[in-house]
Amino acid sequence: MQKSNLGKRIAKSRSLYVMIIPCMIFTFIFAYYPLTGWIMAFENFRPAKGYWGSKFVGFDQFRFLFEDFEFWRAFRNTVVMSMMNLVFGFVFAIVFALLLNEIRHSAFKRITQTVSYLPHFLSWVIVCALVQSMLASDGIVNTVFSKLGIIKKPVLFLGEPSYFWWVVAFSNVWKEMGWNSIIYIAAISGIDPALYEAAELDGAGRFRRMWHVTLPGIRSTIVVLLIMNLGSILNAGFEVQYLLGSNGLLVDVSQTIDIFVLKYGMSIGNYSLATAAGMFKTVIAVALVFSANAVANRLGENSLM
Amino acid sequence: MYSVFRGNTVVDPSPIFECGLGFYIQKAVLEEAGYVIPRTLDEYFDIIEAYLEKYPEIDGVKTSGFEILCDGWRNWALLNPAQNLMGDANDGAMFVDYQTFEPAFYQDTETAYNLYKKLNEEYRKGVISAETLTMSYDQYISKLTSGAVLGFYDQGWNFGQAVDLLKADGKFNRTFVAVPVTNEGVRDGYIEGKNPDGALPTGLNGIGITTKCKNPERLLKFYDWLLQRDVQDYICWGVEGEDWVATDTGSKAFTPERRAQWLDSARRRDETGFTVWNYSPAWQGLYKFDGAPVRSNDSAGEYLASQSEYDQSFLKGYGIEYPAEMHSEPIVRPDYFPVWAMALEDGSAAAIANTKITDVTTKYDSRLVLAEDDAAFDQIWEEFLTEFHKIDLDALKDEVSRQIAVKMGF
Repeated sequence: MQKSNLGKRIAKSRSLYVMIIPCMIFTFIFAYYPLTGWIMAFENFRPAKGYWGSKFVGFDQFRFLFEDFEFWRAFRNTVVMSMMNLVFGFVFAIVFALLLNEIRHSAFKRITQTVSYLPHFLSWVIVCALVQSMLASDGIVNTVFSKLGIIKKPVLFLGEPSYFWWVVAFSNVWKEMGWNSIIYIAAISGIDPALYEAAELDGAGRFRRMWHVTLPGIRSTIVVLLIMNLGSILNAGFEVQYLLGSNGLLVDVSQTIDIFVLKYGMSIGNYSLATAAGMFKTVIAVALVFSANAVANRLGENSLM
Repeated sequence: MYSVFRGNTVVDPSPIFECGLGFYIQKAVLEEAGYVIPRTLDEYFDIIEAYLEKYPEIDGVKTSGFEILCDGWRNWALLNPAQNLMGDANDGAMFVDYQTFEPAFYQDTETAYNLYKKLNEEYRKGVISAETLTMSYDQYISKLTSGAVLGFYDQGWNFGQAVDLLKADGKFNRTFVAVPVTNEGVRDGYIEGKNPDGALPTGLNGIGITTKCKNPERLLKFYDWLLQRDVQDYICWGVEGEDWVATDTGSKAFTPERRAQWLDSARRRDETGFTVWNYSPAWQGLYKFDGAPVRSNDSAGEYLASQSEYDQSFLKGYGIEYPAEMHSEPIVRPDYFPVWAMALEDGSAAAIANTKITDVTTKYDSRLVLAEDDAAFDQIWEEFLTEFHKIDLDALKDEVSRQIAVKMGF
């Protein structure tokens, strides 16, 4: 019974199935087929010898990673920086979307929105050069602070380990806030205006309306984005840390897993180590996404899967 | 793959005009100090301090005593000087004794300790600013271009563009010259001598021809043709009378128009034969037949003709013809030289140790320079020694020894 049912269902919507075939082929070629390369993580891979000719070494590459204190420091830096990016990225984008939504003057609103997401299109190389000159001892930040009398002598922002994570977090906020808020602004515009009118009739002020109407209205969007972003928690980025933090003073707090892999994997031709680190990241990411999804399910939110 | 290496059998080495690396100092500082040659770190920093005190600002910019660039792979200003103080040129991560050919690490020696101690003292005196260790390469170049930097350690090619800009601004007294700073009593070995009978292939330069090439003989014939005297002369000098003139001493010099073309890197690339010369097997030095220079860079006539008035009077102040004469006679390097060009096997223990050494020294050397006081300095040094010796140093040492032995034919 079941079988003929399935066959019938497929037959009924066969045009849809046909349309999905190219996507599946694409996914297979670009997402699943490359996974065969994971075999490198268990070998001493040499490009000239290929997958089958390279020496099989079992878990040696993983042992090298896990026994190296630097790797765990890189792991810590990665997790902390991406947590900070995640939290600040969300908070600033949501608050910005809420505030922008309250602006009545539509020309001003549009200009602000455009200006705010322009930095997204700048490459990190440029943004880091900007950050570097802003934070220099004769840069604008030090000048303003010392003119205001907040500091007596210039602060070495890019030489002090305890500031570095904040520098990264706020560089990210500056670059991505506007861009990230677009999706919330879209979600907000989908909220039924009648809800606002009803709230107003009930005597809710602006902040009450934001809290009780707008925020719940975009809650599912927030949860979905959160789950998706959790998957990339071990991708704290690479450019910012590499461009701003590679000096000897900051290396303890700036080295991320990606930089570690670049130094000890790619740069010295050790592709196996790079693959092992990549696998490690993927496993953690998948675990995080599934657990976040389960939590969302439990809380009665729309989950992703 | 076939390889064709650069050699020079029909040429003699050309004179060396300038030292290509080391502790650089602004010419105005030396002029002010009465044309002395600083030979130790103490002497070097003494005259910088004196100048800094007298001129706290240069052209409206705050004077900077000494810069240390450490931006990503451009880390030699922080990591390398100790080997030079010990009398070596730029060998790489290891120091090699030319008597025994035994490689050794210089990073944890007394010389290194004294070097960073000195830099730390200068930092505490305000001669070195903490910011120098966080600078990007672009910031560094723009700082040098201001003309307010008195000293730094570098390799000539790395800051050439800053010097070009200073020259374009007419600030010839703000350009730099390398001085032979070493440990007390050690012969300076900054300048690499050119091998007089040097048909020796080096691993640094060459072309490759793929084995899939259908007719390698024809390609080799092309390179043979390129190496002919008249072709080389045309590529490097152009047409006599139009692009260059013979000087009294039998050397050659560019005409002013051609020199302008040569000094502009974009025009040099597009309008002269430089690119062909640079990427092909080529001669360098002086032709044995008549002593004529192969390229403008080999030409004493061109070197002298391109000097500004200031530079001429600067050299007269020292009574020398070329800045390189401040240094001892060039040392012809052994066949293994240098360690930094040795290929380490991908992912090998030696390659990992090499990376670790860079990591650990970058981190601790920066901290040493910025230590708060002597006690903190010594504590960081102790920590550094512990971390440094945790590295599998023998892996690199054995590999370097092995490669030295192979190249030296032991």
